[in-house]
Amino acid sequence: MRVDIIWLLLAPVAIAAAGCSMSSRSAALEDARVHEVRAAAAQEAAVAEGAFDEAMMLVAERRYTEAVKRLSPLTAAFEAAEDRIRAARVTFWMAYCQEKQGRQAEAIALYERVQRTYPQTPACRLAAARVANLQGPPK
Amino acid sequence: MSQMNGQNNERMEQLLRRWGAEEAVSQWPATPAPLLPPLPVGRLSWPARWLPTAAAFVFMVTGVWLYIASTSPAPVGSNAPHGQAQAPDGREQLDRALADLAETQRLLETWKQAFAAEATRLRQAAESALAARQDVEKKLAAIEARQAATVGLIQQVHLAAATPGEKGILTLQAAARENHLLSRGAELRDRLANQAVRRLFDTQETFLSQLDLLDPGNRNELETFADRVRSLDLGPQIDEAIRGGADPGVTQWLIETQLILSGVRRAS
Repeated sequence: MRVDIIWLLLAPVAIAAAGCSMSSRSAALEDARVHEVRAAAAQEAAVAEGAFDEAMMLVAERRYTEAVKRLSPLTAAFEAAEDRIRAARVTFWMAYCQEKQGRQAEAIALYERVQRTYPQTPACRLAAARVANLQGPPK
Repeated sequence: MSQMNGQNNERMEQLLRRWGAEEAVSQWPATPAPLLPPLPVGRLSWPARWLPTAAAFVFMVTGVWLYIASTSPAPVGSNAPHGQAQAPDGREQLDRALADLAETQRLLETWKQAFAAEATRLRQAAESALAARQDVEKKLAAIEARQAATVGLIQQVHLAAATPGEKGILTLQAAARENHLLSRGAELRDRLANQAVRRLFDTQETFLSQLDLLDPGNRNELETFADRVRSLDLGPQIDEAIRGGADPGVTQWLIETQLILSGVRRAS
């Protein structure tokens, strides 16, 4: 009888301990997964950063079509890396390339997306200035 | 004394008179008698006495009349036809005078209009000259302001070069924003006709925008940007655009952007 009581008392403890160990293992697994994802995103962002630099060189050389091709996938990469400032920059430069190619409507839409999606960023301020310039002085 | 002189004179005269008479008798022989006998004046008839006088008078009056006739002007209208023949001539003269008057009035009107037009032209010229002067004064003031701003910009670029890294880039970003390089460039670009200068503008504008968006704390980003600016050195092209007689505003903008970008090269 006494042995049964001991077992009855130990059973929940064992269950609790097992549960704890399982949960800690799953948390660790989750952490590892998040870390892995973040590392991958950071790696992707680093690659994207290199691509962004190349795109900037293309913009400086006025090769706007090629620059847009390079820039297009970068917004998602920086978004994934939660780098809003760079994501805003990429969108801004895409708009800039459209503007320089004479596509004003597309340019304004992208500039406005920068203002809407990435407020409080340096790119947002510059995008607002360019939209004002494209739309002309207020009448 | 005076009495004695008087007696002497009288005596002298008597002697001279006697000597003269005696000499005349001795010198001049007796002359023969005249051919015509002396006219018996008291016996001439009345016509014979007055006829020469009357003839002389008539001759004199005729002479005087001829003289007056030859010197006095011919009477006015002496040859003109008289009576009603003069009326058409007077009307004609009146018509001619009226026509002259009308022509004079027309000329006067033309001159008045010409003077008014000239006065308007002169007034407009004076007004436009005044406006041009005010415009020049404004431009001069703007140039002076920009010169002052450029001096400030040079100081900032110098400071940025003296403090390389984050602080230097922050200084350059502030300088570019304070001088409104991006907005001024956008305004100037719309006025550019030269395609080469337009391309130059686009590249400089791209660099300025990249500088504006640059994260000064990110050393890697800063170096990459500085390398980009170095690799696309636009100095010679800017010099060529300035030598080519670019607009003063464009020249000023190009110089200022070049200053900023040279600061980037030094501050990195």
